[in-house]
Amino acid sequence: MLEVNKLSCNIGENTILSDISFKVLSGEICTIIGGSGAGKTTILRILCGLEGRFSGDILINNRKIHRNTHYFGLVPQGCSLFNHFTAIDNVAYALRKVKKYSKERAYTIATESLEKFGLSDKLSSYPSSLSGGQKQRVAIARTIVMKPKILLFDEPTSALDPEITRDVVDTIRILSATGMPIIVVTHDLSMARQIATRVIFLDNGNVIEDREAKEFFTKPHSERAKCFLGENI
Amino acid sequence: MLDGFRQIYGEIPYILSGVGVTLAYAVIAVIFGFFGGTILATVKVSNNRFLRLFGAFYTSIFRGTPLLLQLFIIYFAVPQILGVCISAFAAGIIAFSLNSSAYVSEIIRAGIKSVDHGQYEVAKVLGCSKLQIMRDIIFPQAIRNVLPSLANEMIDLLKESALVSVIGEADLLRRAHIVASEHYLYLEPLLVAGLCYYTLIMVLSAFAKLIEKKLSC
Repeated sequence: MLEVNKLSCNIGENTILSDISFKVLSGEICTIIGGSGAGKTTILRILCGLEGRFSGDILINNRKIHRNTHYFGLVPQGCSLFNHFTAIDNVAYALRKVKKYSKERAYTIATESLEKFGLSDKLSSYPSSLSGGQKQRVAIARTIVMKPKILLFDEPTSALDPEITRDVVDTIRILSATGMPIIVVTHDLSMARQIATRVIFLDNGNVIEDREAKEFFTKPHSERAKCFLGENI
Repeated sequence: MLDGFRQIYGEIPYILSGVGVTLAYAVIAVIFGFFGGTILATVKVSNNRFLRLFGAFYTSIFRGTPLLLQLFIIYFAVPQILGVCISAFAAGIIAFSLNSSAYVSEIIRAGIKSVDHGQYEVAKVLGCSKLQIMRDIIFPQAIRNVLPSLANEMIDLLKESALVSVIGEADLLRRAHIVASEHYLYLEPLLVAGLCYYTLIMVLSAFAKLIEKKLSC
């Protein structure tokens, strides 16, 4: 379980997040939604250790954590695959360099992981020859093999067509079924509606609503959320 | 003109032997320039403000003054300060390497900046060290992206190596000039030297294209 207590982030004179608290339980898919500049991505960046200018506590299974990196797995917006590596090299790289696995062991794990995501025929393909959905799955495999405790997705369906979006949604659901808490930052309301079990609605660095997804999408409480959802209610 | 070529025919091997001298300067300076430029580029993208300032200052000095002036300072002025003689060869190599480092560092810095920053961040979240990220992820892609510019810099260096003729080194151009002076014929020996430079640069360009093709994925 992930617990975030009174998380604040000020960069220069700008307040990006102010006193945010929320919990994500095992098996939950928590989507963080909100307009541009609401602070969605900043939460992910703080959680995975990319943004150090914050105050507040991050707890995993009731234990406060300090160095965040190996607890969280990040699937970034646009995948950010290593373009000069093949799919299998992308997945095996951190296993070899960070976990110090032997070449053989790393490649066996990478192969199994890619096969699980239906990419057995793309092991030696470079990212430039993969489709958006395939890239997304390689990026997920690259993150999953490191066995993070919590998985973070930053705009996983931006720039993907509806068919591939469905593909990504299915993949996230499968991962959630393993019991791993998942946080998805998105502005794609249709995808959020499909996968979310919980929704955190952010506006100007504040949590406006933190509720069950069904409730949020059918009866949002705040005027701001109603306005944001617009015709989608 | 044919008559002119007949007159200098016996001297052509002498001019051609300058190719080795020119190549020695170019190859050694390219190697030092590449390593120097790589270190300098890393300095320029570091988080340390002092290092970044040093990188910017170094580049401004070597880009802001003529290469010939730098060569003269190293060959004539440095011995005056240190009291030791520097050979024309060493002076040439030092000047070209230092000068090339400044230009190469800017090329590589641009290459590093051209790699999607998201890759750096993902690798960091995966737990990779800064050295691993730079060495295995960023640098190979940066070099691939700037290969045409690096090839250009090498070509420039090969041509600029002709400046060593000014401090008495018998390179390709100097030898052509010597032959020209001896025979009072300028066009023919200079054409021979020009053809040599052209051939060397064409070979270098083809080689660069081959590497570019091999590295593309």
